[in-house]
Amino acid sequence: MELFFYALISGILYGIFFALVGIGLNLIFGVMRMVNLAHGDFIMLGAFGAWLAYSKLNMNPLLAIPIEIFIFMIIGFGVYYAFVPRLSKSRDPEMLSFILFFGIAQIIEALAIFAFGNNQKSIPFSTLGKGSISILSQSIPFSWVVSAAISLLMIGFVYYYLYFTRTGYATRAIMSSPEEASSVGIDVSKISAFAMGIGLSLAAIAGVLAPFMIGSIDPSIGASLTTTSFAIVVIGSLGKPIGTILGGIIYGLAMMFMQTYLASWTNLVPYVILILILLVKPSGLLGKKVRNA
Amino acid sequence: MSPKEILKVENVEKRFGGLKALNKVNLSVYENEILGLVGPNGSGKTTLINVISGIYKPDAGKIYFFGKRIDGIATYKLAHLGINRTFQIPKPFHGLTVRENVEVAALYSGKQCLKSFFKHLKNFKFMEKGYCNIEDDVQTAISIVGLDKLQDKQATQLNTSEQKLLGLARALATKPKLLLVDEIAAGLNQEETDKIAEILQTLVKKSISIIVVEHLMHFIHKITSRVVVMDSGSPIFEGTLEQAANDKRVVEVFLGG
Amino acid sequence: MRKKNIRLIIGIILILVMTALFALLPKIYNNNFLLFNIMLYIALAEGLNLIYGFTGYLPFGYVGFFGIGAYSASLLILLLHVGVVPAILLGGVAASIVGIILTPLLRLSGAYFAIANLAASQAIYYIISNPHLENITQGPYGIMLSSVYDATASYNAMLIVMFFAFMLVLFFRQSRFGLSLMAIREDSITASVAGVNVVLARTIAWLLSAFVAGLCGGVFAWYTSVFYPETVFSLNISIFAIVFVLFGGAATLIGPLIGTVILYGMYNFIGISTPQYFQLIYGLLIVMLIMFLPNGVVSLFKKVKDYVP
Repeated sequence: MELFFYALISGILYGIFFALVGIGLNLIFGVMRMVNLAHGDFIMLGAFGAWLAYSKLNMNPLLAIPIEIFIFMIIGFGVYYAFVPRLSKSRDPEMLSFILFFGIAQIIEALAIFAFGNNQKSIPFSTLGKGSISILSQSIPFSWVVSAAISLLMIGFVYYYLYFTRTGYATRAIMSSPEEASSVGIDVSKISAFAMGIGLSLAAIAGVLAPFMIGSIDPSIGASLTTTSFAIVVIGSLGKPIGTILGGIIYGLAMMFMQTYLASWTNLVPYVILILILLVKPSGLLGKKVRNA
Repeated sequence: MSPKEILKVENVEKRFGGLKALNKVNLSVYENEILGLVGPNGSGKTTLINVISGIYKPDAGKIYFFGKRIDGIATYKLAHLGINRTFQIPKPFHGLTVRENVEVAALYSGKQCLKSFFKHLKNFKFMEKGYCNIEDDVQTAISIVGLDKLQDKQATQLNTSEQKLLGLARALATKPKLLLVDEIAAGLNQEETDKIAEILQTLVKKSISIIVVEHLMHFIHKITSRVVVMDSGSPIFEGTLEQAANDKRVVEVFLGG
Repeated sequence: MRKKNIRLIIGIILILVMTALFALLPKIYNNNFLLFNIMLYIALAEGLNLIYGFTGYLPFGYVGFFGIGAYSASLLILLLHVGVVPAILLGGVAASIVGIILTPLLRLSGAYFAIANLAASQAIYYIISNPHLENITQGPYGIMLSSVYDATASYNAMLIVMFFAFMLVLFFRQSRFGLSLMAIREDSITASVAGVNVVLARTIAWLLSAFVAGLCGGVFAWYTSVFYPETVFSLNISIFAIVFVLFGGAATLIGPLIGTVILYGMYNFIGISTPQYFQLIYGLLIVMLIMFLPNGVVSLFKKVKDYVP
């Protein structure tokens, strides 16, 4: 029973973090129908941002968050205007975006190797607060709790933005139909560019927390983070940002229970969940149709 | 002698979630006739076409084609049996040329190509897609709709009316006995509509029976001998268009009763 | 003579020339390893072309079939003492069997298929490399095939597989079957209305594509004779094959060939010594391709496109 509670609590904390990992990918897909295959690499860049702040500037890595939001907003606008309008006009935007962002992922990874080298970097967990905290008589590292809290806060912001602000309403209108959104006077490309910025910023923030949740970082972690994000997003249903929370928590729990009871098969978890969900309920647990005949 | 019945729809039902799109539909199509299927939007006309052409499976009821039960049979097998259709919004194979679009249909019309396959195998021509001797079928289909001059163009380069004609040519290349034409005249100008009406009339003379779904009454009036009026998933009237115009229920439905 | 027939003849000549070239090159050029790898990637790119080019499904996890081929062939040789050639053929069959298991993925469209296929290949990798299966697969410790090592014979086997892959693509390019696949790629509902058995046709393409990758895996295992799970399940193999096909031009015989020769040549030049430079160039190349030349190099030959095999 001890093990069970430990897996349960850590699974939920990880799940909240993983929800943040996936939410940016989902937002971008929902708004632009573009598959950001470089998502994991933006997370990786965010993680290196935190590492730079900690090791070069002696700052608390959490202080990197506001700076990264600013930087990644700008990057997001740049990426949007450089690629998306042209891509949208092409024969098969969804598929071509998939390959295009894969190319961007390769560029980011190569540049990160130039900048940071191939070695693994880490930040001591204690920078987020020392010791551990007792939940249901399980001792949980304090850094996990802090990371989960920040993740929850960020997801809260996304929720607030989408459901309680004017641009948020416009964003949701574009998600359901860009043509109709533009016919009622919404500037689709400006709001989409903004959504791209938010999506990348969310990835970067997840990156800042990554050294505390997934351990040491190096430029090659992007690819597996992308697949993980996909698993989470697909579980929750692609194109519905809030569903990602459910996806994250299911994923976190599956991961932790597997690690507790069948450790050597843990790596299989994201892939098996992903395939099963796609086959059994391809629309995700909360979503719409993606199959063809 | 009464004309031969080629299609018989018997108590067909189709539900989408809670919505009954088709409710106990009964309908017959006879040899060498153009049957008009009319009714307001959402009355189930296109759903019925989709059920007959095998794109949807009916939830209940039976469909007979030349006496053979065909409900629930896969679309491609229906194409082999001789039922084909066009789409309201044209769906050509965009990356292929007009000719190739029609070739696919001719090659897969269910014609037995095996004999000529072995003949071509002997002459070492088996890699060629022409071994089925479809040249005539393809050419005829293209000529009937008048796309001869455009046959080497990519389907994407055609305008809407040409794409609709292409859809018709593709359907013809499978040598159908029953053709389902879904809102082919919508969005076309008078001249284009007249041309299509003329084409459809020549087809009937080649003993192809046709069901036409259409909103444009003058088009229906011009080519059909009989109409079925649908409302909320069921046929409410069967007869000539003139009779329909004097039928109380039909008038109610159309005037938004 | 009709354009199609001319194209067929050009295609056959091209295949014969390439095969003869790779048969003779080892006599004058001693980097056998490079020649083998070029043939390997040509065959993989053409195999991937069968499914991606002709049906539009992007198999991101194509490497899964390669790995299955390599492992099945090796384990048949090591555990059941099957002869090398039958073992390689059975490796191809094994890949097709995995393909059959994965056919439900074909119900998914676009990016969903690509991601699910990627996930499947990773899942296979983690199963095969799991330490619990050490008794069967050697787990993460890899395979030693040195008992049957034969550099010349395995080189020639690759030559045959490449020839086979070429012939398949030429068949797809010229036959009514290939035309029906392209029709499905453009619009599957219209294709079924035109009389095409959509499910059957794309399953055949999928299994043939898997079969080619399985054969490649088996021959690769024979040629290298020592390998680890991460070698034969490296995602880079899928990525290389995809980029080669895209670069040259999908749904043609010559496109993947051009792509492989140019890009693999480039990789060999700068990629092995400084992989990050290569990765950077690769990334830029992909981005430029999608933005400016989404149909590959062959789309530059617009005037003669009917004759391009």
